[in-house]
Amino acid sequence: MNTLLSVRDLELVGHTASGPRTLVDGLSIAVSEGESLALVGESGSGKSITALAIMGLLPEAEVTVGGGRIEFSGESLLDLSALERRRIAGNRIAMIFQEPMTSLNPVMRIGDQIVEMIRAHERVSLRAAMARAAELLADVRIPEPAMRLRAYPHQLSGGQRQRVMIAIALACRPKLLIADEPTTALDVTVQAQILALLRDLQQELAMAMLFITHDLGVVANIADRVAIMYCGQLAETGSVKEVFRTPSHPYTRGLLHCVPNASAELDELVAIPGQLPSASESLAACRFAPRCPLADTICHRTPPPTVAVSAVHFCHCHHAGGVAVP
Amino acid sequence: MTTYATATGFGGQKLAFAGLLIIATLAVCALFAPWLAPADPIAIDPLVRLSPPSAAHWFGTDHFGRDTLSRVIHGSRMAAFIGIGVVAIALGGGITFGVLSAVFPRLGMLLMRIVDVMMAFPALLLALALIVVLGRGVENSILAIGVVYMTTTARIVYGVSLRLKSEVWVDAALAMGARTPRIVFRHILPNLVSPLFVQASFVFAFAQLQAASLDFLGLGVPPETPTWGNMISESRIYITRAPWLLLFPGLMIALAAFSLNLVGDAARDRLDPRLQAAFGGRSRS
Amino acid sequence: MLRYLIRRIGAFLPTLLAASFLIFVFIRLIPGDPAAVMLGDQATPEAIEALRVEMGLEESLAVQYLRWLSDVVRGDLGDSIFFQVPVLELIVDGLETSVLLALMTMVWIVGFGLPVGMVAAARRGSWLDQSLSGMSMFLASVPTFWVGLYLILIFAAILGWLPSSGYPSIFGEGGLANLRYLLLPSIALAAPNAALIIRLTRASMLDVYREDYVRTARAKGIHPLRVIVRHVFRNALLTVVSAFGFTLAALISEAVVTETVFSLPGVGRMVVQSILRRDYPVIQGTILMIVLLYLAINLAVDILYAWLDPRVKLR
Repeated sequence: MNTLLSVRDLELVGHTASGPRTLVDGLSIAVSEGESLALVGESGSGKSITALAIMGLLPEAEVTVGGGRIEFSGESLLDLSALERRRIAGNRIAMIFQEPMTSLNPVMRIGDQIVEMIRAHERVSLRAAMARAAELLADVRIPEPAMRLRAYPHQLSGGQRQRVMIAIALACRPKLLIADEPTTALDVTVQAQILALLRDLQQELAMAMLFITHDLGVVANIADRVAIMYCGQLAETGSVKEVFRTPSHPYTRGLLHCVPNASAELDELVAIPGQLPSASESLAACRFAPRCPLADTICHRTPPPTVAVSAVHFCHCHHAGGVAVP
Repeated sequence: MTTYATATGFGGQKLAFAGLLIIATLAVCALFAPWLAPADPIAIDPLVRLSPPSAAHWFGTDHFGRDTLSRVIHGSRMAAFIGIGVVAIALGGGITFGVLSAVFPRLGMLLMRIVDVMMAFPALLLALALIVVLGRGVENSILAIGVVYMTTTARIVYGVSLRLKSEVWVDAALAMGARTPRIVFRHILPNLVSPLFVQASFVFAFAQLQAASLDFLGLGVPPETPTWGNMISESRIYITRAPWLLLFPGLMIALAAFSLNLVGDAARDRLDPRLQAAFGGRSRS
Repeated sequence: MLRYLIRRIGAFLPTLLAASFLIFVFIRLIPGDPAAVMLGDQATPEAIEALRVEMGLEESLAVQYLRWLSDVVRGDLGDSIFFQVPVLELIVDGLETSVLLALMTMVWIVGFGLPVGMVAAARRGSWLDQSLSGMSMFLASVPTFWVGLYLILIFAAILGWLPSSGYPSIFGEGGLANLRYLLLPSIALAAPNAALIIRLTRASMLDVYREDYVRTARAKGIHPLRVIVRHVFRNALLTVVSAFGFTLAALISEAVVTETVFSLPGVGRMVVQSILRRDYPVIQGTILMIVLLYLAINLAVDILYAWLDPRVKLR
């Protein structure tokens, strides 16, 4: 399979009143065509701003790219002009967000918001674009799509609004969909429906997906591979099956041990002692060391090596065992 | 009106400090006018009519040869007097009617409807109507403008008091058997202090502009009293011959209103966000 | 939408009625016999007696009010003591000036205030933004009549570009060119109000820019200008429109002064002159007319708001 998106050694720097702080440190992830990668981490671990960096939507006054590369279909996104990035955003990489209630423009009709996306990237007539918008609403299983085109966001439920967001995202048949906690704000039953919809559409359209979540139950449901982030750094990455069966990073193990059932959320977990260190404490060491049960002197002194647990499973830990990758 | 409140400001601390500084300077002018003014503000000198600014008369002289600087300094007295009077009436009446309305819902319905009706009159028009009934004069200017801003103040106090009343700790106080007056004095009034400070700054500022308008129209303070509005009104026909005459009193009105608005803006921005809504109306939240 | 309209009009009528009652009562609060007050100093005892009967002063206040109200509804606002003509005629004469002045002022406020506010928001924090914001804050504190007098000095007296006072009707000789008489007054009147709109536009643009749906729009890869216009500005406009009511109140107050400064034959100056002449029927009639117009325009602003914000219709 060809690599579609590759993020290498990405460094994101936040600019606060108290000076710059590293929010994402040397992150490397890759998504192949048609594959679904779950990016997992606690809030503040840097997963959402990574997504914004890929989209080119970083709030420039607050967060900037400090280094690294982001490649999409072999093109280096960070080297493109603003115009060239806009041709990719929405068109080939689309994104849906956490808050369906506030993510749609309240004074614009649903149809217009979908059409806006289509006509931003393709030269089609308004009529044709509207017809496509209706099809898209049908694709995301919204009943009476032709009528719904004329509705305003406040006339729809949260689940329906998220379906509309998905319809907008899929309007140009993107190669990659970034979904940033798309179900967190929804009721449990609606969550399951939206997840099922995303999974179906991803397979139907042979589209790659970068699914950001803090819910391990969701990961097993939707992803082929998983990347677990801790405090701006990658902890462990591999196929979902392997990572869940043989978690090698103490953080992952902690997370999985604490999953009483498949839908537990990280935020509720209390079993991992300690809390996230602030990102400004730039540690020349393993960032998880202060909370790690296995930590010894080396953990506090040297950054962890990348260890290949298997051909499809990597871990960033001094105590993981297995073969260190240079 | 609360137009200022709806426009969220910029800047902040430094500007508010500058505003306070200007207000302090004006207050000193008002307090020590007789000692600060170089000349008698009503002394006529036909020999130096309409003279431009000079070493003897920094701000020039008017058509009676009166020293403009001295008149401007003395004008700050009336400005302060009117401002304080208007704020006293607006806040005194506003607090009384606002709190009563919040505490007694039936009375509140009636009072707030009356406030609505009075707010159907644009500010200056209501003041003019009151002047028609009362006649012109310093006290009547104060009363008329005070009543105008009493309506807005009552509405803000009513809004804030209702909110406070519905909050849990007032319920708790009621449950513990506190009487109404005790709730008003212990729980509601203390929490009104900061929103009322904001309102007082805005009312003081608007009072300056409205009083100056009344003076300019010849319906405010009697013309023999040196107020900034009267000075502009009297000098307007000499504007081509002595344009400086209008400059200083106008600048003083603007400076006074500007500095009070700066302070009010900064104070509002520091208010509890839930209370800011009382100043914003429908536009925010 | 229809239900919203009915509710708004349902709130408008009682307020108008109550305001008219206040206007009716205030003439009676003036010391002296109301009939004598209404007829002025020169009135003969016979005329006063006749008016006493007409006003029904022997009857209860409620009856008097209803009698007055039915006259008003039929367009009878009484006669001017000074001009000896029906008050309504005077008001109708003044309306052209006042309405055109208000419209022209609104053109400046909207045409200048909105774009400048947008630019300040787009250049947030820059020296341009700081100076625009500072300037608008100061302008909002400057008395309109003072601005007006200096405009007259510069553009009429010194440069001689524009007339300094008066306004001949655009329907008479000169036609539309007569609008130049309203140029300086409308600029003086617009200055403080445009300043408020600048500040408000800037603040609400910045608020809206942080909204999630703006991020959604940016994620679509559409042109940044389109994001600003269709998404940010369109929503910021709601806040600005909802503040139009306040602006309007300030504008009417200041129009009274501005018409006096520029000797414009409008309703506002008529209020002031009638007060100075103690022409009570005219005072009463003009104030009633202004309040009616003010409430009606406020109603229109509310309807405009409902039209701009689809969420209102359901509430």
